[in-house]
Amino acid sequence: MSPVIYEQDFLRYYDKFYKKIINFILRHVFHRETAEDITSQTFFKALRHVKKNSPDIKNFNSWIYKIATNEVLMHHRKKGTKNTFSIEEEQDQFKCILVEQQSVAPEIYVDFMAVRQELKKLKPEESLIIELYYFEHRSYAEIAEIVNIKETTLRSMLQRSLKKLKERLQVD
Amino acid sequence: MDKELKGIDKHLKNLRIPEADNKAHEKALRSLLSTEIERTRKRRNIFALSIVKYALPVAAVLILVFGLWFFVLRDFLWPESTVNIVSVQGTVYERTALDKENRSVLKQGEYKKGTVLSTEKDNTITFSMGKNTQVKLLELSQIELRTLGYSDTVENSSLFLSNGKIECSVEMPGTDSLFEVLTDYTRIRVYGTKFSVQVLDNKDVLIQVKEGIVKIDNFYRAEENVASIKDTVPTIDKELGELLDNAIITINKQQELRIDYKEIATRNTKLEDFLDQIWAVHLSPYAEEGEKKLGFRGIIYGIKAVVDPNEFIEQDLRDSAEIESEAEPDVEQPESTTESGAPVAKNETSLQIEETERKPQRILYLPTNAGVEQGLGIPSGWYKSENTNIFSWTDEVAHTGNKSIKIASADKRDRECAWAYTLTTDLPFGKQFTLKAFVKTEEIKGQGVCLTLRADDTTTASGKAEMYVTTQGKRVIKGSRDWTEYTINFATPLAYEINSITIYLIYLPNTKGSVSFVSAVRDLLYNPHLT
Repeated sequence: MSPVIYEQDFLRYYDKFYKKIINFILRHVFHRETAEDITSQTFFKALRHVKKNSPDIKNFNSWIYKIATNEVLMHHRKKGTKNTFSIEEEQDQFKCILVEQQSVAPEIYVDFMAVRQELKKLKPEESLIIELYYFEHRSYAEIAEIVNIKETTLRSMLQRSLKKLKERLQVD
Repeated sequence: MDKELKGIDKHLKNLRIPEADNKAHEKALRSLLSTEIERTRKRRNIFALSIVKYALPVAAVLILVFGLWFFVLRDFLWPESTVNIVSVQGTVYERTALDKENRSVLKQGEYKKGTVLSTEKDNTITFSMGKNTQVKLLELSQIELRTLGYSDTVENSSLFLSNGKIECSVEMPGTDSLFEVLTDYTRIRVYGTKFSVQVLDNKDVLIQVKEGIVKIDNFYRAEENVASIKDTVPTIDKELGELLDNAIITINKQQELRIDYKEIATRNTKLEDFLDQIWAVHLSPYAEEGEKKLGFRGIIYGIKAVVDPNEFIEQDLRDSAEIESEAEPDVEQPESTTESGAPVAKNETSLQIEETERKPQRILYLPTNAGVEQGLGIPSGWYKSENTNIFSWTDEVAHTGNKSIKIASADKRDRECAWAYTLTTDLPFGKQFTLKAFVKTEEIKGQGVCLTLRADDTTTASGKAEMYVTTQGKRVIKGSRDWTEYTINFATPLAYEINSITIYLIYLPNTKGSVSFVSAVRDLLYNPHLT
């Protein structure tokens, strides 16, 4: 169990989790400015909560993902659609981000981009649990806590989502 | 994982996941969060500093002001009340709670509350309190100044007399004021009088009233009484009543009360008033053997609880029945041409006098209760010619107040009977005496009922009546009539030799039915203080 988070320790936790959170959000929304906004909101919300209820925070890792997940879902609800960007726009964004890094060729992520395209067509909750499981490598227990459902429910939900994805990708 | 999903599972696990590195945003966001944290910290520090900077000095000033008021200004503006020594004879000691030993009292000085003053043999001390109150502590006495508080309009003083005797002359500025003397068993409250209190060696308390009125409570000490008695006591402190001029009261540890009045014969009205106010005290009609003065010994029911109150009532009834049956044989009327049981023949006077002398108090101490509202089982002061169940004191019907007295017989009776009331005090000599009464009848058949007044030169209705008047033969009271007012009066002003007036509600022979009676309320009956 992680120690209780106090305000003065917050920046230490920020340094540790920033990259994970912005990548998690970025892989979902595929738009850099949007991802930065949601990340900022996530950490500011976390800071406000720490000020008031720091003794209640038992596991910062799961807790910050929970806030990020809620922010992403809220973003979708505000937009009214899953994603307003076209495939071409998303690919351009993706390339831009990778070019900034100047280390990786975009071609090696062709399979990921294909999966990502199909994930967009699932419900946000379904795509989120797949992303948390396969891209963020979270355990069932952690994901269940993040999305606030029972672990058994999560397993069956994940299987259903995978089936849908499989049908779309036609992977054997 | 299902077999069919193994392919997609493996495919997803083998995916190369892109990871971005957004250093610029990370740095900017970190800076913003850091600023926010710093701002919060400063805000908290400012709050803490403001408490130190403002609240603490304010609190310190308040404490200083309060302390100044409490220790300096209070004594200056509202000086603590003291007693002033007027005179000291011999050696008198004083001691406060802080003192281990007694100190000699100076010839002049002031003493605050909590001081204990004590005298030795043949020594006395006199001190003044408030404006016009003086207390003299006699020899071998000890008193503690419990409460001292005087202003222009109110004085409150409380002294505790543990032993010995004090004499007090009290004059209070207003009705809100109170001067009281406490002993182990008694509290004496005073509203302006001269009196003395003495605690005897056996802790009995002797209170002598020289002038004015004092009010007395007795204390009940539970630890000194057995449990069974405690159980019967609903309230442990009870007001005993007021003592008037020339009264001497003794209260002993057994909670027995003895009251002696000087000039008892002329002051019995006030005595009655006093006794009427005593809470639940049974007044024995028998003075103790050897008591030359008329005296009483009262036992407080609630505390002593040795006798059931009803037993006393029954005893009273038996006593009165004996008196009345001898006083009023169903006889013919000596003066009047009509029949009535009220007056008796002259030749029976000696017998009656003997009886009266043996039990004179029965008549002497009747409280004024013409309205028949007060009493315990029987209206105070009223008595019946016989002790049968045709008589009742009821609240079923009432005219003025809540009660009435009643005579009701289903069958015709062969002899008469009566409710009676004798007035012995504050008689309106030289004036007309009028009785106003209200009578309600229900199916009274036969001769009916009558109202009768008689006046005697004795304190009881005995022998030949000096003055006599009745409604019998003049006004028929029978049938069924709602409350009707009747007024009768003596033909001549009340003679000076008269010592008692007796009122009768007579249920004549050969009568049946129900009659209820309320004499006019006390003031209407006759109140010498109003005329």
